[in-house]
Amino acid sequence: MKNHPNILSVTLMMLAGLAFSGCLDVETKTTVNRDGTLARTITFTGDSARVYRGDFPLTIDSLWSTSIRKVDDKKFEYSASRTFADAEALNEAIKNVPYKTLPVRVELEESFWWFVTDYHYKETYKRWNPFDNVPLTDFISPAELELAIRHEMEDEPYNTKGDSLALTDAGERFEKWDARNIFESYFLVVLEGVRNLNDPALKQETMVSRKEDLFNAMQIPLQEGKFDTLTVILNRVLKTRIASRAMAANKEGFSLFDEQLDFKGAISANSYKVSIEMPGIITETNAKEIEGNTVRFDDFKQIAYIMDHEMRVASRAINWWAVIVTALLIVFGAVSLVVGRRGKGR
Amino acid sequence: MTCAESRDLMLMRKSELTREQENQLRGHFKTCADCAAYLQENKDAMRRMEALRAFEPVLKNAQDLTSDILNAVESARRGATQAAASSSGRVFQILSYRTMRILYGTFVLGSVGLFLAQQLAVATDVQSLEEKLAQRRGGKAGIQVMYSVPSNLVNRLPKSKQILSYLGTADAGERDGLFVIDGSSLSRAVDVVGSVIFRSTDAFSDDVSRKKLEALAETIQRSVSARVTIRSKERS
Repeated sequence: MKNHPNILSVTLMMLAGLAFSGCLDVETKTTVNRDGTLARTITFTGDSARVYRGDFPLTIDSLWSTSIRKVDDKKFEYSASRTFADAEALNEAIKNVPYKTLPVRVELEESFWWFVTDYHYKETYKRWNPFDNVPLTDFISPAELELAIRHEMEDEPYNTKGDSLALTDAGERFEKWDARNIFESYFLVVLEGVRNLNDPALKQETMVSRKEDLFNAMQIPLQEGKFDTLTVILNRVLKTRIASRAMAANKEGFSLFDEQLDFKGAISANSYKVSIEMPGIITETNAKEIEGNTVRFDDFKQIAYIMDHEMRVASRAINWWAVIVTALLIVFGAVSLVVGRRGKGR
Repeated sequence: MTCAESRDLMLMRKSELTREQENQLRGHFKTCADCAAYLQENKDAMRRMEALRAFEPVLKNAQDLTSDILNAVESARRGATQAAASSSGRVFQILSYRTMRILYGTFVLGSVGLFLAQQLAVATDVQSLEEKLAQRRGGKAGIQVMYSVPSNLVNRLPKSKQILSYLGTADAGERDGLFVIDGSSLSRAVDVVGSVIFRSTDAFSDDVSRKKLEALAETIQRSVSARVTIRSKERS
């Protein structure tokens, strides 16, 4: 049996490593209080340049209490804290900025059962892949995807050599899908530029007819994150320098494409951890780690790259006031019965 | 006889009048209508007085009046106390009723039962969660699959903090030249190596070093073999 790097993580790692330096360790700690309020603290740890630059992957506005401290010679930590009246207030405060911050949504449900109150907390990191042109299922079967996710989420080793080999093959198709996804966006932007340029030397039809040639030439650079070589490849394949002018003719489109690439690289470069502290005893969670009444999630950016990733935790807290009220009612009832019986005896 | 003399005589009792005065009065009444009417009014007033006398309250024994009043007040006070006592008495009376006793018993049993059921549900959920986590960690009783890799290959891996944390788990260790490790930790360690290869652009001075690490990672993956052990259930 073989084990190998996860198919989902390889592409992200390549992009992150080649496109960016100065990654951040992002840690979010949320405390769910008994009254339904939520206290959230987010820390970003990285080198001083990265921390002081401030463009963090999670939305933080001026209402958060912030501080920066030096962790060691190289690392600094930016910390932001705020308490919210409810989940909706928190959602409002962490609303994402497209292609700047991650889309995150929080839900909290409370169920009152007299002696106990159940809390169901859910934090969802929405699919953050900025490119959405080609469905993943065109390249990887749902069964393969499920196996890969189980391996990723549940640390489940592949059971057979066949599984492992199948996933190795699926990993290659995953990379191809990712490259194709980016390529489709890139191609559409260039095509729009060609349309705007309206130069007889490079017609739209020519572009469309050479689409697959372009992809074949660009696939590896796209997989390796060498985006700066795309223009050179474009000129080489189309055998004209007009391609570069076409790009200039669709500045807006290229600016958005660059923004999407930057976002992808920036998010991929960071590591993310989420911890949630619940009131009472934890009764259910999909976290891998539990310590007391705190659950911890990490290594989820790969999953959230392709689909919404839900982090769930449920807990149950005893309402001691309800226990006391019930006990008093029982005692009062018993006393009443005894007194009533004596009264009747007379 | 004048009218004034006549009215003076009328104030006197009949027995006090002389026969002559009676005759003079009768004679005057025949001639004076006013005095005759005045006489009639006096007679009517006297009759009404006689009638009122019949309704006059009669105290059989005036000395008993105080005690009668005190008794009546005491009786009224006792009545009010009994009325107040009867409402609280009714509560005890109702609770003593069979139906109310059953209702009370149901309330007590229901409350205690609900509390216990809720606590039991928590215990069951927590146990089930712990089992699930143990299963994920591979710590569940039964068949445990471990993996072995030649130690010399593992020793050549970069000694990063993260890799060491995966290779240093409780179950991992070197035995007879083989490094034995659980599947999850091995998978994570290999992921980290992949991460080092792809992410750390400044970790390698040249491509040769990177390729060496890639080759090492591949060799490790090819060399991994599974070791199945059966673990007995731990008794507490």
